[in-house]
Amino acid sequence: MTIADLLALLAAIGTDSKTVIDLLKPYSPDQQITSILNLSELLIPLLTGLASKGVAAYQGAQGTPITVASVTALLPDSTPLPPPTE
Amino acid sequence: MKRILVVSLLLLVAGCSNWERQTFQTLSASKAVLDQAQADYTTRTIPQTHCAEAIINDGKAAQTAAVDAMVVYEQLKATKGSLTAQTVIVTADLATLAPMVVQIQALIANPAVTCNAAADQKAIEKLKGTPQ
Repeated sequence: MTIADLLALLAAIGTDSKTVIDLLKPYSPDQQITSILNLSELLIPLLTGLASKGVAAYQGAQGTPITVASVTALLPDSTPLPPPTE
Repeated sequence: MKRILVVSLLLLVAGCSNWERQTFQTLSASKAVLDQAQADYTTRTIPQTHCAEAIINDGKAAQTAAVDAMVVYEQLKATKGSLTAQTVIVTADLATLAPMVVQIQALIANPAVTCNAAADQKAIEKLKGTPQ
């Protein structure tokens, strides 16, 4: 399984989870369950968005010529991360 | 005989080309995920914890190693050098990178659980490395 396969799978799971949450919400009177569902609802778009970006990049790279320059451009952002605050 | 040789060579070239393309596309996908994770960490969408910082930095290091290996591969190809050994190195680097990308996805979904799991894994590795 390639990274793109994994990302596509995660995106599909995200979409399916959203459907399940929408189905469960009206039947969850318990406050804690509602909070978990609300939190999940917030996180799923982030997860799905991230997976979709990976899949889009994978597909977008289909026609790019493979050269030293185009491979070098795949180095990650060299900016250091801000120091942890927690 | 000649026909078999030509077909074999064509298959070999097509195979190499597919491998190169798949590697290039995989590195493009992992870069997109890493860059997004870095942006989310910087804007505090991902909590700015030591654990999150370590996971993203580990991913960036793995991406750098894989890209550097692929650059060497492309340079060897240009000089008509042997690609066999470098193919093994790039493949091994990609195998290291894949679980890190999955871990970054998990970090987005649930930072606390991912960080606890990462800490547990490090503790297990430390115990394994301890002389009996």
